[in-house]
Amino acid sequence: MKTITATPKGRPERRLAAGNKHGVLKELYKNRTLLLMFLPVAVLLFLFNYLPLAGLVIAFKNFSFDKGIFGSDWMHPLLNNFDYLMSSDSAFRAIRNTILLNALFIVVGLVFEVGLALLLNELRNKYFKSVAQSLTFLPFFISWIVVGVFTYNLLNYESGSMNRLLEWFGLNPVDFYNSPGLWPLILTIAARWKSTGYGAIIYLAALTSIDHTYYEAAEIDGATRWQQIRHISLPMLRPTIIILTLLAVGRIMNADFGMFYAMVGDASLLFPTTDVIDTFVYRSLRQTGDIGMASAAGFLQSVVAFVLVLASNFAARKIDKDSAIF
Amino acid sequence: MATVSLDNVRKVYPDGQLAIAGASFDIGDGELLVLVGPSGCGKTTLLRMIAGLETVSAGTLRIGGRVVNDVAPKDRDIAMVFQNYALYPHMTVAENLGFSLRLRGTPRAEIAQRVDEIARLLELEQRLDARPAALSGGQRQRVALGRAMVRQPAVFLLDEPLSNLDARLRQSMRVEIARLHRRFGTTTVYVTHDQVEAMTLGQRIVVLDRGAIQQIDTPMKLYECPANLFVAGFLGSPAMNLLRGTLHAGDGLALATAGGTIPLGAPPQMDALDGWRDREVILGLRPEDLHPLAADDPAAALEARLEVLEPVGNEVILHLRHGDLPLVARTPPGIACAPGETMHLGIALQRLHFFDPRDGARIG
Repeated sequence: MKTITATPKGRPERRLAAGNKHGVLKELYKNRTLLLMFLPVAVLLFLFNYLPLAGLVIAFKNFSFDKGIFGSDWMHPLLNNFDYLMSSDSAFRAIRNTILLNALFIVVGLVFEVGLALLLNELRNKYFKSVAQSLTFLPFFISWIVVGVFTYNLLNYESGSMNRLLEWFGLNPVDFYNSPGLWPLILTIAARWKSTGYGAIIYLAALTSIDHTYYEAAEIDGATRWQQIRHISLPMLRPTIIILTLLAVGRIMNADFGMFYAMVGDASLLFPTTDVIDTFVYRSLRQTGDIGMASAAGFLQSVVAFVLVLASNFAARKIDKDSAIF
Repeated sequence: MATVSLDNVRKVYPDGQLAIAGASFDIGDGELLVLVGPSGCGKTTLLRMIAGLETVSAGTLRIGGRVVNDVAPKDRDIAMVFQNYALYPHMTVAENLGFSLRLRGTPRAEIAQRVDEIARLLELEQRLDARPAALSGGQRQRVALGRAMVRQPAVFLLDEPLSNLDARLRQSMRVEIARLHRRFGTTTVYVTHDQVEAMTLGQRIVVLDRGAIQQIDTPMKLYECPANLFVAGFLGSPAMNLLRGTLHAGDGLALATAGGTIPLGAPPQMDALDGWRDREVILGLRPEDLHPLAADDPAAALEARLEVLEPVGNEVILHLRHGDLPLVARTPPGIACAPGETMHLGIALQRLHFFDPRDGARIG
């Protein structure tokens, strides 16, 4: 900076701007091969990720199939779709459920995934480690539809295995499909059963990349295995944990439609604790065909997610500057 | 402080690879012993066995008289400095220094006091709140040393601690380590592949090659009386000149080499060489035992062509060729000879080394 401000012509800013422009062109020319290789990606990214953003206007329109996206009339008042969404009790409940259930999944998922990765990392027998990792990973490939059927066979009142087991222990059967309070737990267990093995892979990769000398140094310093996990593994996993949590927080308004629809379906008795934005919008579209309100819900999801990512990143930066994404 | 004793200690890896063939030696209380050898000779494996980071396949390892073959590293009362320092990157310098004390449940006030003492000793007071990534190489090295010292262990194990530093810093840290050892007098095992480090730091040196101990002695004894060709060639920079030839006796001894005959007069090893007349031997000559002489000097033993001259300030290294045989000589500066010219060289006959060409063992 000093050399720029000390230019004899006395117009350093202009010279700097010209220099930068020249520098950018030079960089573009220098990296032309790489940029050419990136071009198809950029085109696809624009077509499928940026261009559809124009469709967000539907959230502010009284959408009509005849008039199309841009020909449809604007809502009067403009935020009417949002107003309808926010004033509906069901919509509010869906937003609340989405945030709370996803927050629960994030916290429990983090504990289970990191825990499983730590356990797998402690295994010394590589064959047992491979088998254990494959077994925990396998449920990820099972469709939610199949999991929904499994769950029904486990939990239904008349012939579910769980109730048979309760009866065998001399306990009263539970009408799971009539007890909405139990479903956050049931959904959490199902989500963890299906995704913990998959989620642990990144943590396991991060763990295996930790230099083994740190553990040896800690061992000589007097650390037990647990103390090595606490003082070496977990602090070194922190950047990975923060990044994955930030990404998960960014999706906190997006529920896994497949899971909720396959597990709960149209069991309206369970909606107080299981109806989420995605199932609510799907039902609304099916029943009313109100695309404007569905788009408003999608728009709201994106805005809230964006704000939450910014807030989480700000929090991460406050805790540890190096762990923040940006 | 404690003694360390190895009795026929062996290390064989599960794949059958023999890392240590059977090491037996004692390290005295307060001694600084250096393990030296080329890469892959087993010196780090031996150190890691003493640390407890590698299992002992056979033999007995004692620290302070106690057999520790199956004792966990944390219970051996040792501290180790790793080649890459292994400083915990998420902890500050103060936390790194105090970590072992914290694990042992030492009261906070005492940890703070001992960390301050060590930081003062190693001139790290200004860097106590810094993370390792923000430190220079020399500072990281000092933190690693401090982390080992803060616990006041019975034995220090140092695994090539200076290998990541530049030449100048290495020299100053070498002096620092020697100073700290003199001050604390802790039994220390120091691994290095650098013979200068080994010679300058070690009270005794263990020379290893391919998992076997070649010689154990004081630095000067190793230099002056190497037990075999490996030790002779490994210690000393530039390395010892090794000339293969047939030993003849006449008016004194002479060595007939491919480059010509070198008169050896009556060296002190005459008796030991009795059985080697008219047989092939390897003659070892240290570079400083070859010195330029005037052409008409009767003491001139051989002629050699000067190929390269390396002035290094306080001395000059001469790279010569005697017939087809390469020779290296070390002389004081001010030599009046240019590359391509023929030089006449005298030999310090009192400092010759003879080796058996079949197994490399010292003859005398």
